[in-house]
Formats: sequence, C-alpha cells, structure tokens
Amino acid sequence: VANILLIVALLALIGWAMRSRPKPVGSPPTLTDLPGEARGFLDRVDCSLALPLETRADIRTELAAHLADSIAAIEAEGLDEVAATREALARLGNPEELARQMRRAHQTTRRLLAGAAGGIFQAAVGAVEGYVAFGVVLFCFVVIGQASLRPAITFMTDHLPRIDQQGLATTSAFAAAVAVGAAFAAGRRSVQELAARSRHTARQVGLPWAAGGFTVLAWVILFVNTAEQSWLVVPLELLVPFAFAAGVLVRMDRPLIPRGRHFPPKVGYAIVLGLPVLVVASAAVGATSPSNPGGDAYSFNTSVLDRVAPATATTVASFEGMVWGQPLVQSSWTIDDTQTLAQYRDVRFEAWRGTLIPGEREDRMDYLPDYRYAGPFATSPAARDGSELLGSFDLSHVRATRWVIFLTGVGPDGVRYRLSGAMPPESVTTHFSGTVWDWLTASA
Amino acid sequence: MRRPGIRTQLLKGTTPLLVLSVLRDGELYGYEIAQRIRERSGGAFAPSEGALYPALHALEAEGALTATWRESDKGPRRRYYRISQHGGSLLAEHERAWAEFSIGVRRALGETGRG
Repeated sequence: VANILLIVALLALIGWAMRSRPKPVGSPPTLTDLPGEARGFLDRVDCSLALPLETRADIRTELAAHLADSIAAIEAEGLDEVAATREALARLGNPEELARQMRRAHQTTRRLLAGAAGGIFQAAVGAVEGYVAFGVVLFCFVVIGQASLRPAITFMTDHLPRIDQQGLATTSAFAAAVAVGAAFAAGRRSVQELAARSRHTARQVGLPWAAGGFTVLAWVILFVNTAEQSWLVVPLELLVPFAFAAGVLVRMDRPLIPRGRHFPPKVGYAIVLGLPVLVVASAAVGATSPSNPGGDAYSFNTSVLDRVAPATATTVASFEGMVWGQPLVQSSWTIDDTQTLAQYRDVRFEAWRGTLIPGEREDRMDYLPDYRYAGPFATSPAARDGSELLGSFDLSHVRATRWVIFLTGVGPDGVRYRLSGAMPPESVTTHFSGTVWDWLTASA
Repeated sequence: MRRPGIRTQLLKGTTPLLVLSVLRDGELYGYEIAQRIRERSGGAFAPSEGALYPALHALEAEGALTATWRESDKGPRRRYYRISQHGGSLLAEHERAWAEFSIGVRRALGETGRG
C-alpha cells in the first residue's frame, strides 16, 4: 500500500510539475498585412534576440501589432504607405539596438536565479520520471530476457568473465542502470526549465548547466553514494554524470527523437539505451542460471590445497560456524588436535580468493582456493577460546567475489603448513559496500 | 539654439514612471501607452518607441506589470499590460523620487538664475 501511495504521489508530483512549467503564450503572427520593409525590420530584430523561440514569437507579434497601428495612424495623417512605413520604423529606431535592449530586459539575474531553482526542481522531477519510466522498461526487458533470451545470455555468461557476483550485485546494478536513464531525463528536463524561466536559449545555458550538474553528480557518485559495488555497478554509476550532461547537451533545441526519421538516429538511440539494459539483463539471467560454471576455464586438481600450503598429517581444527556481519566476518573453528596445534606458531586464518569447481553450481559455492594468487588477500590471527579458535575478517572493502578460509601455522621446520581443510564448502561471497572511490582505491 | 535630442535625454529614466502612471487607470497595449503619454503631455513628448518596449518587458520581468494577449480585429493580437500591486508601490516610489528631483532641479535653476 505504501509503495502504491508513493507511486501515486510521484505521478501527481510529475503532473503538477508539468502543469507548472511556463507555456508559450504566443505564436508567430500572420504578417502578410505588413509591408515588406516592416517584415524585414522584424526579421532583423528577431535574428539579434537570442531568446527562447516562444519569447521571440511574442516580441515579434507585439512589434508587428505596434507597426500595424503606427503605420495606419501615420497614413491617416496623409502619408502614403511607403513613407508611413519608413516613419514608423524610424520611430522604433535601430532594430539591432532594440533587440539588445529587449534581451537585457528579459535576461535578468532574478530570472536566471529563478531558472536555476526551477531547473533543480525539474531535475528532481525528471529524475523520478526517468527512474520510473526507465525502471519499468528495464524491468520488462529483464523479465522478457529471462523468459526468452536465457539460452543466448547463458551462453554469453558461460563464455565471458563473470561480471556479477551470484546475483548479489544485480540489484545495485539494476538501480545504477536505471539511474543512468534518470540522470538523462533530469538533465534534459532541467535545462529546458532553466532556459524557459531565465529567457535564455538552451544553447546559451546548456554548457555551464551541464558542467555544474556533471560536477555535482560526479562528486556524489564518487564520494557520497554508497552501494554494493562491483565491476558491473561501478561503470554504470560512473555513467550517471555523463548521462546528465548528455541530457542537457544532446539535441537541446530539437526533439530528442526526430519525427519521421527512423535510421540511423533511432537505431543509435536504441543501441545507447539498450546497452545498459542488455548488461543488466545478462547479469540477472546469469545470476539465476541453473548451471553456470563461471570464471575462466579451470582444470580441477585435488592437490590445489597443497599447492597453496602443504597440509599437515592430521587436521588440527574443523570449521564450526560463521557470523556474517558488517564490517566483520567472524568464524569459529573447533580444535580437533590440541597436541599437534601446540607444535605450530603464528597460527592464523588465511582468506584466499576462490575459484568455482568446474561442473559445480555457482549457488552451491563449491570453491577451491585460486592458487594462481601468490598469497591470501586477508589474514586473521587465530584467537583461542577454550576448545575453539576464532577468526575475524574485515571484508567490507575487499573486492574478492569468491573466497575460502583455512588455518595455517609455521611448523618446527620454519615452513608454513595448512592445518585444516578449506572452509567451508559453503564459502560465501564478499559484499563490497562503499562508495565508488572506496571501491576504486581498495586493494584488488 | 535648441540642441536636438535634449528632450530624449531628459526623458531617459522617466519611461518607467510614465508607463506606470498611464497604466494606473487601466490596462493598455504598447501603442496605446505611447499615445496616452503623448496625449497627457499635450503632445509635448512621448517616450521613444524603441525604448518603450524594453521598458515594458523589464517592468514585467520585475513583477510591476502583468501581460495578457487579446485577439484584435485590426491585425495581430495585442499584448495588454496591467499594473500589479508591486507596480503600484513602485509607481509611488518613482513619484516621490521624481518630486524630490524636480524640486531640486527647480531650486538649482533658480539659484543659477539669481547668480
């Protein structure tokens, strides 16, 4: 119910905002009644105005009415039409100077500030509008994709490196992709509002507005907004400020999609808008795919664990349980062989990047340590608590997607040995929660 | 010898005052405003038509005037201007300033004459 009320409120807000936008009050008049010289004068004024189209039309209509009255009055005094026209035009003065004065009268600081405020408001409305519209389109595409494109997209995800993490990042990716569309809509709507209210052309205010919006959004995306980041989410988020700038600058004075022309512009838009849709749909389908080996080709080898660290003769500890929290992941292990454990020093837990065992399902998280890495990406001292060993890892800013933990210790011969099996067959995927900047600067 | 344009120079800056004062009686469109000022001054002066429209639009931007389009049977539509509440206050302010200014000018001229 709350969601429905929210949607209704948002639609009402959009409707109200659309009604509150300034509407053109005039249209170019029929000037066939005016002498050619007078029409030429109006053309010269119009060319020098540099105001929005509807404002120029208003001014043209008003001056045309003035000239019609003025010429008629002068003719009534006894002059012929040509002389009356010249006299009426002379009274209005230089057309370029008149245009300059009119422009100064319209483009006031007050209107510019009002335009900026209106632009910010319309950016918010446009963002909501774009979020809803693009979200619905994307959602439909994902649903259709899941239903009909599964074989093709599964093929893609089977043969390309995984870009999502078991679907955990898919929600963030969906939100980020929708935000790209929302930013485009926000940019376009806001610049139109700014231009209309400040009586500038979109071309006059577009560049500074795009630069300002780009800077603010880039700052928010990089340093403020926290999300579950991944290789899929971060590029989409970084696209947001560019989408805003594109919304402001692309075809600012014309309809976005030209009427009556289908190729190549519409194809181009379809590609630009369709790419993030395809990426997210691919991730979503891949995430729910029943069989997905993922990752690069991997040859299964039972001695993988020994390649990472040679095993002791007996298992010293076995996995008991894990508490997954933010920012710490805490694991507890049962000590199986106290005597052997006593022979090792610097006993610690090591977290290694994992790789999926070929043929196993991603959702079962059957990983082995990826021995291509030289060492663990995180370690934790093994703290003894009675008959248990406790480990604690801060993985909130670690970009590992699959990983495993095991216990190691340095033996009497000075070599570090593995003291347990790889924990657990039910290994977990890390969640990188933070800003884009955190993610970009985190250890890989 | 009378310098050409001296009247124009004197009128500069008074256009908003004159426009607001004729609109106090009701709404008018641009050409009518110029005519009304000319009539009131007994044909002595009227604002330059080239300066009238920028002044009208500037007053509208300031919120002193509101404008409405009306169809006309004599050609293009007319844009009628009406004084707003803010315009009324602005007119009173202009009138006070003008009264003080004109008294000052008269005094200055009188002193010059005596000297």
